[in-house]
Amino acid sequence: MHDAIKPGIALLIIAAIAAAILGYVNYITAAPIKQADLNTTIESVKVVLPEVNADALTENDIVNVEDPDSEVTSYIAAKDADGNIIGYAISVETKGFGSGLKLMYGIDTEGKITGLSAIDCSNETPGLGANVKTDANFCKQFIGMEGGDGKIKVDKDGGEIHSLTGATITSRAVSNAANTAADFYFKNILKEGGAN
Amino acid sequence: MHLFTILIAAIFVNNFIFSKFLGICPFLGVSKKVETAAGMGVAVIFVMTLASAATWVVYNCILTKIIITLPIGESDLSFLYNIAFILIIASLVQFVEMFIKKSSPSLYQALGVYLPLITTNCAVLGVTVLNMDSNYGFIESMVNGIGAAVGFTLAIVLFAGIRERIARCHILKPLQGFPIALITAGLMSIAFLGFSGML
Amino acid sequence: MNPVKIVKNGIFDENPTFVQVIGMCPTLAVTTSVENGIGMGLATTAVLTCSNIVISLIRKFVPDQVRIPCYIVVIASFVTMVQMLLKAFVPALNASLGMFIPLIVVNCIILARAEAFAGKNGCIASLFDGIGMGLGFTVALGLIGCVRELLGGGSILGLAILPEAFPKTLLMILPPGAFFTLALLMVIINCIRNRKSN
Repeated sequence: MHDAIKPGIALLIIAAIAAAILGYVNYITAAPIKQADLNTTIESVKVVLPEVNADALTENDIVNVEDPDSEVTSYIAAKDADGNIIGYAISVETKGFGSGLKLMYGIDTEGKITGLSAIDCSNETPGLGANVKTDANFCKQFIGMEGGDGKIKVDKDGGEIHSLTGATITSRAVSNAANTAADFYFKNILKEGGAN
Repeated sequence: MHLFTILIAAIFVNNFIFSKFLGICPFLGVSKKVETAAGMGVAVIFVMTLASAATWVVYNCILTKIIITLPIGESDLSFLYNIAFILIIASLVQFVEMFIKKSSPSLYQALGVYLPLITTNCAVLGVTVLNMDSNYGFIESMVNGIGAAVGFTLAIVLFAGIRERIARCHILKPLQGFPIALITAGLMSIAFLGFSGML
Repeated sequence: MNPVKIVKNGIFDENPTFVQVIGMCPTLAVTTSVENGIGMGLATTAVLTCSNIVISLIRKFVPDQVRIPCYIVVIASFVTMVQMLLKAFVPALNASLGMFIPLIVVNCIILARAEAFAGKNGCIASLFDGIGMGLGFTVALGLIGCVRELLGGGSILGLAILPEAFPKTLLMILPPGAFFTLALLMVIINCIRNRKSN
């Protein structure tokens, strides 16, 4: 038994030193990581709500939706210089071809979509579904549409959205998520008389 | 239904070998004979299920629950997940090996040689990280673990069957060994593409 | 040993991907583009070099029975550090490499070099061994990424190379393309080797 003590202590010491160093690195990188996450959000808000001064957004503007049944993960109420709300940026996490397709929609106060940005489409097929991130013509189709109750559909289902080439499933998921975002706007945000 | 979806997705749609590329080393290394491939597969199912359960408990009941207060600020221990998971897997493998050796020598004879190899099988660590990233609950983690392992076993056994036949064929010299095995795997991967988008 | 020789050994004579055929999971998974391949290669190089140095420094204090667990702890620490730094300063790369960053821990190259080299050699030699092996891995991943991005997307590093009319073989970016590309490159290398030995 005595033979087991020395190696055990050696392993313990190494693990303790490693944990201490990691704790320190975690501490110094915590702030930059938060900032990097925020920057990603800001870049998307710039796309979906072009009229908003997105650079002024801070972490406190992001409202997380803690509802496991809803695909909406968070939303931001964007204000103009006078503090009037001019639109909402709603983040939706849905299932496209793969899982974890993260999209952000801009919706103005009339409930019309002002823009769409793919935050994370790394599980979609590269060159097909993942084109949602780069294909501006596809994203443009959603601008000005009013979603909700399954109103937005791809052409294959009798709707107006022209699907991405070879990626009907992703296009359908993006359309459905647009409806989810609009539903969330009408049923949750509008009902509460506009949060904030 | 939800659990069934996770299971089918893990076995076929997101097959660890052909669509996620996890566990390629044992896939290429221990697939010359169907018998050994099946042995490896069973050992992986065993360890992966246990590892999914053990890491879920450690992550959700220990790492995210302990809040440390240091002079430099407060934090939970979730940043230690990587070290914790790999040590859990390594000790689990060691423990399973000792247990099987004592309780069932015949099973040990069959699985013994593969167990140490599993520690560095990235499929095992991969499934635990995947469970954590997907915020799976305890049962969901277990089901995902079983599904991924069954998918791995399916892939490696099918692959070994094909390799056994290839070994008897005449193959051009530059293609011998790994290249022909990789091409085979690529063709199988195309077949598994058929499952994608199914769920 | 001569540092240049050690580095060269890692890149050519004992290239981890093409000659030793280890560390296959990231090799196949993240090489959908040159950028991802090189990013993964450099992250691995950083972990490999750091862990090689630390392991060669502590090798005399570590009892033989717990050698492997100790190595794994050291490697896992560096991997976690790399992940935090990438998240903080290169979030886009972190997002595209995804779960393959934490999985560097079980990349056989790193534990293999710890066992075969850093556990037996001094600090300086281990440093160069880490750099050499890491670069060998990076070159291999970059090469695979090149072929796949060129044939599958018609571009290299995001710059369009092939004319629009050239048909893009989407299959090369999908999982099967990874297997085919690696097989192809191995065949080419085998041919070159055979010719040399003749």
